[in-house]
Amino acid sequence: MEFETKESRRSILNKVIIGFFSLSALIIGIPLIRFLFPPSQIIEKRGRKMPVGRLKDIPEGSSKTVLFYGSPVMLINYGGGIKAVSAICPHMGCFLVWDERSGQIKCPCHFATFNVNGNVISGPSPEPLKTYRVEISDNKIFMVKE
Amino acid sequence: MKEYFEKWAKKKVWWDWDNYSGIFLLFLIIIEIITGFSLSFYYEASPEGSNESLRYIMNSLPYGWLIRSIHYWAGHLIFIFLSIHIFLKILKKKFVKEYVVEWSTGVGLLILSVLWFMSGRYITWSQNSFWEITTLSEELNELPILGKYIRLFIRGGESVGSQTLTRSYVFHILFLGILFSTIAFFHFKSIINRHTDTSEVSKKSFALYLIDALIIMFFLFSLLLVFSVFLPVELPPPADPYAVPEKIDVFWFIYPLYKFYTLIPKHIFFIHRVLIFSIACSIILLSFSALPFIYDEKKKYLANFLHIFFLFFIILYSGLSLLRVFL
Repeated sequence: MEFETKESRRSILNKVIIGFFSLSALIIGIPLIRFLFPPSQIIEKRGRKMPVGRLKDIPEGSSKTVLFYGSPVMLINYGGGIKAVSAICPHMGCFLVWDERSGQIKCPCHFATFNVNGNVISGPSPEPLKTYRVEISDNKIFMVKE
Repeated sequence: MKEYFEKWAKKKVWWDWDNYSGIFLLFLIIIEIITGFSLSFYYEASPEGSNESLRYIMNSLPYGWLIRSIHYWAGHLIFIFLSIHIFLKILKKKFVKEYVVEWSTGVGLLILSVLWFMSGRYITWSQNSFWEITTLSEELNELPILGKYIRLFIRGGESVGSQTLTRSYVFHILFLGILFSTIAFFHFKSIINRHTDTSEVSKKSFALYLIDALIIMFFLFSLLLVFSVFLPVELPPPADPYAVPEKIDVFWFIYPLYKFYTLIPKHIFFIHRVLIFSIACSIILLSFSALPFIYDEKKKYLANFLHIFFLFFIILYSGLSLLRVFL
């Protein structure tokens, strides 16, 4: 018994080729599109975490001032952890300094003092210092934008 | 279908693998370009951001691990098919004078592929790649006259750092890409011209040729997916300029060269090994690319010697580099 086919060899070949390329395009195309156009919450997450230094650069009791999204931030290694607080005094906008001996942040302009968590201890500052979230991985310090 | 497979078995399909492997190489390079182009959307070429961006690609982005794994495995498969391609081309004596354009552009593409792969390794800015580029540039510095300029050119400064990474990245995505495409264009143009001139392919059915290629290409694509899914590439440890690793893992395809290099004593009669090695490599590569001019069918002994020598060389070299993968 012989089968009669209406389709020519050429049209079968065309279908095979189209099938192959469609399948391949589908297998690689879907992941590619999802990769190039990820959900917005994934894109927003990126860029919020920024490496700002190495752990060994800030020994216990010392501090380092870095720029985070254009703002000077003081990283302080005190009490067994890294704290990040704004390095600008909320009173008149002076640069703050870390006093290693007393373990306090001081303003050289009008003598406002803050503790390591940014809370006002004394002086004219109307509000506490802005604090930032810090993450440490592989001995690197990352700051996270909230 | 049975009839087709009978035909397939009869015509000794392995004999055509020199052409098929070329088609697969093209297919793999297209995959590399597509995935590489996609990865470049998120990659950050800076010593601080490189590892972090790779982590973001692989851990946060949807299918990021798959895209990077495909990019990685396609790169490795290219060198396996490249070995098969060169071996069969030599076996079928496709280096005679009439194939001069294909042969010389092919040798150029081989060198560029190695550079392309190596620059790709460097931009991961891992501990291994950092020390590999440091050692390589330091060794090349020993070359007389040109050494210090080559070192400076590779590093982009006195030390290996952000400039080196930027250079590797530009080389990887721009310079080598453009150069490779240009040479590949002449390679393929010459092949197409030959087939339309002498109708070498039309002796057998072009359709059968195409079906063979498609079936094996589909198999190759599946193989690539299997490798990428079951052996996904891992994030390498980031570069640490203060910690010298015990050993450097060089790219497996150049491993025989590297091993041979380390076996040479550092100085032979006050001449640094890098100069001896560079001269030896240049002679081999030059004679390899000039094979269509050296090879002469009339000089039977020389012709046979060259044919057997290069066949043996390719088998030995590919065997040794593949051993590196499995051992």
